[in-house]
Parts: sequence; structure tokens; C-alpha cells
Amino acid sequence: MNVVTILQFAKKNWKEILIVICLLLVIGKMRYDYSQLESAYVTTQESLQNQIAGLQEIHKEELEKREAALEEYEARLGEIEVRYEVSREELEVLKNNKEKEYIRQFTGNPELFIENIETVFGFKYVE
Amino acid sequence: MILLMLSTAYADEGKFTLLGENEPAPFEGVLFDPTATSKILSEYSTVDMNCDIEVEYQLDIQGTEFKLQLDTAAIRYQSLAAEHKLMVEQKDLEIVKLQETIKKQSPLNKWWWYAGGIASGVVITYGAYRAFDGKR
Repeated sequence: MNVVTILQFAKKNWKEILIVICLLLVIGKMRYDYSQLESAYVTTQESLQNQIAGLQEIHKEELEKREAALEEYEARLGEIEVRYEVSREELEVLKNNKEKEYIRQFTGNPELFIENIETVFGFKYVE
Repeated sequence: MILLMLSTAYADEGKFTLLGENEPAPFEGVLFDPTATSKILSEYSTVDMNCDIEVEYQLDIQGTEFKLQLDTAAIRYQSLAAEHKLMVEQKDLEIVKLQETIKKQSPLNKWWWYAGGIASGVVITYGAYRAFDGKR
């Protein structure tokens, strides 16, 4: 089979050869377009995967921060409760001391006791 | 006031009695013993402090709750801002990559398509000419 034979074959069947070439061109173009579409799909997929990973990370950080804020809130509430209880106890002690002081005044210094009643309540003392 | 004094005295084991007219007192009334009177006095004289303690406690509670709400809102805002930034960045990257893909078929290559179209036209026209010419 030499070049002459090939040329004769091509000349004889040039229409079929042309159809095959055109078909190959169409197939090539289709495959090229398909690869372009696939590339676009992969790009979108990668973007979405990155978004999902980023959102999960952000969500995780948000949960950690919320947890920290809640712990801080509970710790602060605990401090407030302790301070409140201490204040109440101190007030109770003060009240008891005042009570004892008033009882002492009643026996030891009635004038001062009377004066305290007048001062605190505004009542008038009558002999 | 009398009710408060009575209830306080009764609860804390202070004693009191009622004096009627013509009893050894200048007027009728209620007689409290020193313990009951001292309790009433001490209770009354510390009521402001008690109120201050309660107010401070309630304000602290409220302030802490508001701080938690504020912190939570700030955290949510930071997350939303980060989500927005991430989405914009990823979309920008996606746009750049898609633009690169589109550019391969963009008008920048139009001369290739133009030349290809002319060549194809010539070939098809020549082929048709030969085909029809051959049938004569």
C-alpha cells in the first residue's frame, strides 16, 4: 500500500472521509464543551465544599464562645449570690448587735433609748 | 406600722401587752418589753440597708443577664460577619475560576473561530462543487 493507493482511495471515498472528519470535529467539540462544563461543576463543588468547611469552623467557634460566655455568666451569678449572702449575714449580725445595744440602753441609759425611739419612729415620749 | 411591729415582736419571742384606760399608764396602748422594742427598733433602723442590699442584688442579676444577652448578640454578629466574609471570598474565587473557564471560549478567541469558519466554508463549498460537478 503506497501513497498513490491511499490517494486513490481518498479520491474515491472522499465523501465518507469528509463525513467522518466532520463527525470527529463535532465529537471533539462536544468533549471540549463537556470538559468545560465539568470544570465549572468542579469549581462550584470546590467552592461549596470550602463554604461548608468554613461554616462548620465558624459554627464551632461560635458554640465555644457561647459556652465561654455562659460559663462567665454562671460564675458571675455565683459571685453575686455569695456577695448577697455575705451582705445578708453582715446585716443580720448588725441587726443583732443593734438589738443587744438597744436592750443595754433600756437598762443602762433609758434616756438614750427614748431618744432612739423618737428619732427612729418620730413618736413622742410621754411620762 | 402597728401590724408590722406586732408581727415582728410575735415571731421573735418579744412580749407585749395591752394597757387599758385607768391602768398605770397615761393612755391606753400596747406595751412592748425591751426585747420586742429592740427588735422593732433594730429592724426598722436597718430596713434601708436591707433595701440597698436587695436592690444591689437585683441590679447585679439584671446587669449580668443583660451582659450575657449582649455577649451572645456580639458573638452572633461576629459569626454572621465571618460567614458573610467567607461566602464573599469563596464566591469571588468561584467567579474568577468560572471566568477563566469562560475566557477559553470568549471573544478573545474569535479570530480562531472566524478562520475556522472560513476554512470550513471553503472546504464544504469545494466539496459540494465537486460532488455536484461529478454528477453531471
